[in-house]
Amino acid sequence: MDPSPEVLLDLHRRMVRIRHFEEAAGRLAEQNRLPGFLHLYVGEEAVAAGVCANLDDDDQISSTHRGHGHLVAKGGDYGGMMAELMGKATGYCGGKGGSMHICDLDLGMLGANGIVGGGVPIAVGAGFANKYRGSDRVSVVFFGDGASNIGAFHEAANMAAALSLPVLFVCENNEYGEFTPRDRTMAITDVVDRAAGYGMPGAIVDGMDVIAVWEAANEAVGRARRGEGPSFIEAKTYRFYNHHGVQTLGMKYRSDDELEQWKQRDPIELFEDRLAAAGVLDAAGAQAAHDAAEADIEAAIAFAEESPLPDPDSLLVDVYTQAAYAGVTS
Amino acid sequence: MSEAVGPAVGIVANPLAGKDVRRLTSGATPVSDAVKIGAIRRAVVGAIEGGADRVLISGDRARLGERASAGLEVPGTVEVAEPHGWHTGRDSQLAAAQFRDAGVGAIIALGGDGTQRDVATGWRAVPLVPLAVGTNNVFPFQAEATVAGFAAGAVASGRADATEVTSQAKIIDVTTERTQRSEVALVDVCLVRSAFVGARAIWDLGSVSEIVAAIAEPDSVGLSAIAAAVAPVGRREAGGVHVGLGCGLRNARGSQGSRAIRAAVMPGSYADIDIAHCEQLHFGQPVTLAGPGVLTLDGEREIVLGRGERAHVTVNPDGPHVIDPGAAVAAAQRRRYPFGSAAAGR
Repeated sequence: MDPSPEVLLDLHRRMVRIRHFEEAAGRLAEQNRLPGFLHLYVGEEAVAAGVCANLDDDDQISSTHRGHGHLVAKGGDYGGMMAELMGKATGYCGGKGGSMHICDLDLGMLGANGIVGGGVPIAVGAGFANKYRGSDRVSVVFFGDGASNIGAFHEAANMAAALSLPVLFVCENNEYGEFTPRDRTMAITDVVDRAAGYGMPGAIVDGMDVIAVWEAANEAVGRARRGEGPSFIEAKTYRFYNHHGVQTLGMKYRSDDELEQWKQRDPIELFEDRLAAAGVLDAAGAQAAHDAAEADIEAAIAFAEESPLPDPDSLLVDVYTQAAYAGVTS
Repeated sequence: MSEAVGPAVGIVANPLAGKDVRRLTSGATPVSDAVKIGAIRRAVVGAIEGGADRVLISGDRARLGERASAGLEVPGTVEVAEPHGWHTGRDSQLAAAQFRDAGVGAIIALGGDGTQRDVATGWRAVPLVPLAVGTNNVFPFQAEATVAGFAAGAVASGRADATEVTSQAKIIDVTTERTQRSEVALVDVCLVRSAFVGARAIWDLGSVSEIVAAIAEPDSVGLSAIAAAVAPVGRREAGGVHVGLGCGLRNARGSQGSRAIRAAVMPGSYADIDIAHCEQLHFGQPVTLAGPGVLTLDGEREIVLGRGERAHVTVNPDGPHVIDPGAAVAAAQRRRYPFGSAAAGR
């Protein structure tokens, strides 16, 4: 069955909100208004949106160094996110985590993660807890093609399958681990080939087609909720900007032609064409969604810029457990 | 890729075959790159043994051909074509056309119904060994790749007479009225009440409203199995069948005497289906399918039809020339070992 018009508009809104957040963050970084590294999700929006539209607030996700899109798709607050990127006290992590540790436990977003592959055991642990407690919650781990070469991925995938945990593995295969093409680090082309080795079903979907992602995730999340164990989805996708930041730093690890070919399949433009053809959303409606996201992002930037930096007295807060912290300072 | 001078065989391997969402929806078998690489390698050995001087393998970003032929020592030339770079079925279509133009005498295609359809799109009357390495495998068959390669080599080299060891398959032509888009299918074309191609698999069986099948055999799995339950048509029989399903046709049920059947609609999945109407089709007899909806070709959503947009579908007799591996090997062996027939006759 096709997704309902409400779901289609929701998917569009999630993708547009990711795009506007990331474009704004990129602009601010170019202007040196954001500290630290920034890994932008532009081009990959269909994956986070298509998956997260199948989740409730109680379901959990764990994320990657490229994690803003996942949090936006899970319903994250622009203001708290932008303040976090700027290192402000009003940010999601009090301004101390920055881009790569952004999280919102109330939304089940267990955190971006600077350690490649580090999010996989976290989501599997959440999956174990969900099953142990007898809840019908599902946990989803987003990870890249490079992360699937990391030991933590393999241990966690094995455990999820062995214990039949309600976990969805979503590999965002964007063909590059940082600046290295996938075929220099793996003897297989499709990460999904690894799923069978752990005894879980896996499928490839077009990661630039949000409906394809939504359909596959709908099935996989349903399997997990019904107690049928983990599934694996490999979304073929591409990042439109550099590994970090916006500029390519002059490193020609991928060709302009290749980038252009993928941009021809911009997931938001593709989806808007299909929504228009199906009579669900016309050009004016799409523009209104973009305008609304842009207005929200402007407000979030103003909020973040006006917010204070963390108080120096809070330096050790969230570094040690409160008990240990009390012990140190007493 | 240079033009073939001696007997040449082409191998088209679809890197995406056996990996789509049907692994999640219906427990379909996953097919890894390793399976395909092994099959290509064995088919190359067989093709050279069967009489081919050259084997041309389709190029793709998974580098299946390069990996299959690495270190392979055979008394012939093995060449991997430049990839076409689409990373879709279009690659298989272009490879088949390219092989035809290069003078290839037969193709071995590794994949399911979708891959075989792509090869027939690129080269309609291709001499073909369709090897079942995909999800829905109504058109292709199971065979050991070594033997499949040998059969293709025997036909390409003339060691087996193509007229004796091949049979021409049916093909379904689809043309959209407004956009004049032309496509083919080898098994079935269906109209599904959907607005999107999405993950391509047919999601909700209740959304299927019409089926035109060239092959509807009782042991089929998929939409053609529905047609087979009502009016079976063998792959070597003339014509096809057009079936209307209950969906959206409830008003016609009483007057047309609808009936319910049960069929294997996907690998690992049976369903109850209301049949609203059914007609046998002659070759060339047009069926018009009208949108809104999506046309599926051999079980995959492919063409979106807007409201009132129409597509014309016909079953025709001029599809691929399918090579019978057993017959081809036997013919080549008879020629090679004339005493064999006498021995067999004892």
